[in-house]
Amino acid sequence: MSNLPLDGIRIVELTQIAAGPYATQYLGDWGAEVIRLENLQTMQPGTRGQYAKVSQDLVDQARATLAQGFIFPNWEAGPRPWNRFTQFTATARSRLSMTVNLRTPEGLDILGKLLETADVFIENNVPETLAKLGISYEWVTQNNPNIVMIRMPAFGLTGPYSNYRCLGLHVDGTVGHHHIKGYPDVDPSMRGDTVAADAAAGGSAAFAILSAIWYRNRTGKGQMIELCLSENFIPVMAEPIMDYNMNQRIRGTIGNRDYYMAPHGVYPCNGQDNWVAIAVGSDKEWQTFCKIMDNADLAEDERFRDTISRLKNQDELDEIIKLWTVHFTPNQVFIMLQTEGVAAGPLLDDLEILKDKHMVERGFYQELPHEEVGTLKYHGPGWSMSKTPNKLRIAAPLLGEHNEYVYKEILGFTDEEYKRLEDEGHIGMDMMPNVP
Amino acid sequence: MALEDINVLDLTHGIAGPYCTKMLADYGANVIKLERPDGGDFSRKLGPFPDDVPDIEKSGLFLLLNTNKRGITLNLKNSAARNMVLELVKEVDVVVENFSPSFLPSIDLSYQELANANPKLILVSISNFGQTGPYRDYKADDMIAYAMGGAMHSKGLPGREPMKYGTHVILYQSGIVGALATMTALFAREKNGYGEHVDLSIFETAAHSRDARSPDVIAAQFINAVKPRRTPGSTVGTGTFPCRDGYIVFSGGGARLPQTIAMIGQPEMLTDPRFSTRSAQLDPENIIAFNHGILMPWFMQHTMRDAWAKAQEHHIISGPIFNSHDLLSDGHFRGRGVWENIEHPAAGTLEYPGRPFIMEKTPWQIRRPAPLLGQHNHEIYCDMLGYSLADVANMPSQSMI
Repeated sequence: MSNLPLDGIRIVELTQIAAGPYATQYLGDWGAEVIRLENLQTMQPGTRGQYAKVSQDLVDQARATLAQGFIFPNWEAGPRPWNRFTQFTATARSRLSMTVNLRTPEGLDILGKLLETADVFIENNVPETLAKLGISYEWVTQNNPNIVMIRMPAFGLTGPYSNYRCLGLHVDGTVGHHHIKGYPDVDPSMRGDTVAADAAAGGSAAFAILSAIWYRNRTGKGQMIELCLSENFIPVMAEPIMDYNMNQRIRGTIGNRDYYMAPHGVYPCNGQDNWVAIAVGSDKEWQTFCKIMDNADLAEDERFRDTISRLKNQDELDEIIKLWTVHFTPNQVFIMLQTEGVAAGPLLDDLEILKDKHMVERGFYQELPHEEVGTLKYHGPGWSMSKTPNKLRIAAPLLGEHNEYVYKEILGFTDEEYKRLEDEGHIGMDMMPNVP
Repeated sequence: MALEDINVLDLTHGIAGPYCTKMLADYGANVIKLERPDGGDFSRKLGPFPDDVPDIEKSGLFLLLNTNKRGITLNLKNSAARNMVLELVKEVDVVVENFSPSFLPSIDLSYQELANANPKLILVSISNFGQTGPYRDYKADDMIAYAMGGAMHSKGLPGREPMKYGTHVILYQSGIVGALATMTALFAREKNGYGEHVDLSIFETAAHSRDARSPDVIAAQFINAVKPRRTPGSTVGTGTFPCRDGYIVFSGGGARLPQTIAMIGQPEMLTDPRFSTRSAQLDPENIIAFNHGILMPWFMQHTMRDAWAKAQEHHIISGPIFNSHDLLSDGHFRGRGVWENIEHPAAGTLEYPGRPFIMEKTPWQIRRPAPLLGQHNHEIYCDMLGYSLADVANMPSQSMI
């Protein structure tokens, strides 16, 4: 038992890929016990990999093209690729894994028994997937009337898109995010590479769960929560949506620029693929920036005199700034500007951020050991609390790693029953041989 | 409502802090928003505005971010303000603020001073870089937080500058995480009996956020290399494709390629050696041959909605790129009631984005629109704190409220 704020809350999850596991990562990091249901009989593409069987040929091909979804540690998929898949190890810490075949009556029965002991049941599947398994809120409350159940489909339990299959990157399209980002001079077919809706849904779902438990703790009443990836992201698109509602204007992309600040963008620096972001928020900051660039002419240039002029003449402005930034490293520009009160920041790549001195001093990245992938640095909990120190405790679970604990300690199965469930394909640590 | 017993003093401005307190207020918390008397929260000066005419009571951004809050004004820099803040602090469970980390200590309202007035108080501080560390006092906006913390270095096209998210995604994300952190701290207080100081860094929120960043950081540790920016469409059957009237993001590669081939009705492709093995599907030449030569012409004969429906019939994960008009006129979203008409005394009745999620027993609810600047001064200062009408009437001349 930890002494973390959410200690004592048990969450059972039937989650896939991104948004669902992200919600439970937050709650698990802060002390909730998260039990992940998995099935040895099927492999949902994405969560623990695309395939159960990954040939070395395919791994090598991925190495040549850097297809990051197929990246395995040391370029070895190993005998149990589902434990080594990067997307999973990166995002599934702070939880336990049990296996059960929910496509059998006994499997459902086992889930029902587990739900009796749980505070929360969370899932993020297409609604028809649960319907086929015979799982509904009604069924769940027959097992535990005061449970909090949260369902996270992309588009809802009702409506024409209800069973549409989507991930975050598709939802970012449908709610309008892709339309307002990207290079203004490049065709939209070059967009579609962000999954911001997943992160937003994960955070909101964790908030929704705690709000519902807060209410239950006062009233004894559990409830059903429906959180769609798409709908949760709509308020994040407030500015283009309110502009449309107020002025019937359809906003497009302005790239790295801003409606109220200029200069505002990303500029090349000395070195290979090095960039710095700069955001000048006022005329005073512009004058400071000109001083840092040691460019008195620019400070007096009428084209850039005030924000409105700078917004109007951004193309010329950006060209001038580029010619200055290329002489420095991103960090030099960052420090020169920030010490004088102008917002700037280096574009930290995937390795630089691990070594960033601010991140290091705050201890944001923390090491966790993992039997199959070794010791790696993972991002820490989402915030810190002054009187509740928190360190990461457990890395992503191996498939079925916690079967003994769940079946025997929580559910009270005997050794004989446990053995029978192994023989019947519920319990194990290997995907079935017939899974591709 | 779920959070109706939680009282919050909201000292925030901009987007991240106000979205945090909006989440709390929209699900029932009693939120008192404190603004500076000279113009209020700076988001009041950001648009969109009706007919593009700036008006601090009509900012679409402010109106959306501040629903269900009561609004008061107070000049925190006036020395007499300190006692009034401490009186308010005694009445609440939570204070949320997103000033620069040095500001509250500079006016003698550090966490310790607030906690002395109310030991059970939870202070949630949302800041660019956190309350400690070498960058603590640095400035940032959404782009800079994403540039430093997020996956921006790997977003965009090879050979061009990296590309940020649209609008202010990281700031909203920080607001969501702020609301989650507030609830977590409330659970901690239930357990321990005391409050504490929550330190939420927007930089860290960007690095934490479950976009590509967290898996890429793990992959980078395996291969000691960073993810390059690349042209979208890294495998046969996956990419963003032009349709007759727009674009669709389509992930019909890998295990789903047979479904894609069924969708376009060209079954002979199933046995084509360029596309039939998993390794062939990653070959750049085969990607171009299939995606440009076969798939794109099919999409260009369909509207994005037709193409989407057909893709979904074949269970292929996909989504069109909607603009605001497409989204607001879409029957699915309208039918589910995601839009909310809200009447505001200055801005009139407008349609807003509504609930982010549905709680069956304790639904999201609009109890009041965003406050006019100082609208609830009388209610809070007189009715709640017991100041007299004369006291309140005198305050503006002392630049207090």
